[in-house]
Amino acid sequence: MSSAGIDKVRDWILGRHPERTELAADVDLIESRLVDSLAFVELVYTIEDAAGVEIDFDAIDIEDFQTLATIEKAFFA
Amino acid sequence: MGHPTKDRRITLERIESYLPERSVRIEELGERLGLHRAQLGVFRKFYGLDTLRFDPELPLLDLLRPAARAALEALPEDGRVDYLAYAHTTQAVAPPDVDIAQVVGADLGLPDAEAFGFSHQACVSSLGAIEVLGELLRAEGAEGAYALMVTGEQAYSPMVQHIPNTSIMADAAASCLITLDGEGDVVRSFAIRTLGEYAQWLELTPEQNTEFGEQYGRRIADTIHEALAEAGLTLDEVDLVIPHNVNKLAWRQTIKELEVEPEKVFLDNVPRFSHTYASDVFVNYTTLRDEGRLVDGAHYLLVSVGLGATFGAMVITHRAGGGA
Repeated sequence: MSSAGIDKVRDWILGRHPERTELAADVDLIESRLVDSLAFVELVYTIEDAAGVEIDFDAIDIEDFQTLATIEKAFFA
Repeated sequence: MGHPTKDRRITLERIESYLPERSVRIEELGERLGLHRAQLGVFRKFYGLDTLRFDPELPLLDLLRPAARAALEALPEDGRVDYLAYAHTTQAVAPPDVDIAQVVGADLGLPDAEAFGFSHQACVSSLGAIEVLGELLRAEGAEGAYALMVTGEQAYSPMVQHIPNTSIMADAAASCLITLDGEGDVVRSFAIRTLGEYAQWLELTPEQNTEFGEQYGRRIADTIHEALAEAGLTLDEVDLVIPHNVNKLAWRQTIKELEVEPEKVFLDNVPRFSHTYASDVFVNYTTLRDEGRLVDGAHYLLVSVGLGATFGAMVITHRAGGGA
């Protein structure tokens, strides 16, 4: 289940960037602007949808959203 | 007039700001703005917003008056304000038969000042107005003439308070007394770029929003470098970037683009006051000045971005002995 969840997140990011065909787990999503500030709420919704739970904002940090690997660890492990 | 014009430097004789006392946490605006849990969570946790000033009961003039009056205190006894610009982001800040610039001029006891509104650069309008006022002084101002930039507006409707996925707007006002070759902070350069393809403000297509978000940081960096080049300075020679308070995430990406330490950009007021339209850079300036953090002779970058979309950067040199 966990890999299917992170695949959905990867697909959503790639869907916003048609010029890319793959996305490594350690790419910094924020600094590379793959997820810009305008798209952060959508990223949250995508993760919640894929994980099937609501994100507890008091328990997470922006670093949890840094890469696909950190997202997987924080929300799909 | 009889004096050279282009060689004359715009100086900021006094900068003041004003924030209404009423402070609210962003969660208190959730219902008014139709913001749900995830949106508020992103605004707080990632964009760095927390509290802001918001007082819908405060008349606009009462918001604008304190900073404007405080700035005018730097006017010498024999000084005269020839021009007054009211810079604002939202086009409609008053009913169509009310010219706020004229009303402000009368309220401040400046009936003879040529007063006009200035808004098409959105949140960069306050910086743009400084340039325009300076050019007016250069072109036709009498010797020793002054100009007053007044900015400030209120988040009077949810439509002008919530910029989706970007910021929650808040109330504030600021004012700047300007002259040529005065003793205040020297304006070294001003770079401004408007990308007209984003003129639809909040009605951009999702594709345009993605495109705009992706190039946001780079465009700010380009504008900053243009202003620096015009001033003959490097970013290393600038003490601090004094920015607009749109959100911390947008600035995080811009900081990466600029390749500077995060401390180089003053973001302390983002969680305190949020984005106050065109007042941010001046609110931040007065915070820094009042905390004793502006250094005599040091260079600072005032940077803002406006919907529409306009990017502006102004290099100033602080002079502690001056009025500002």
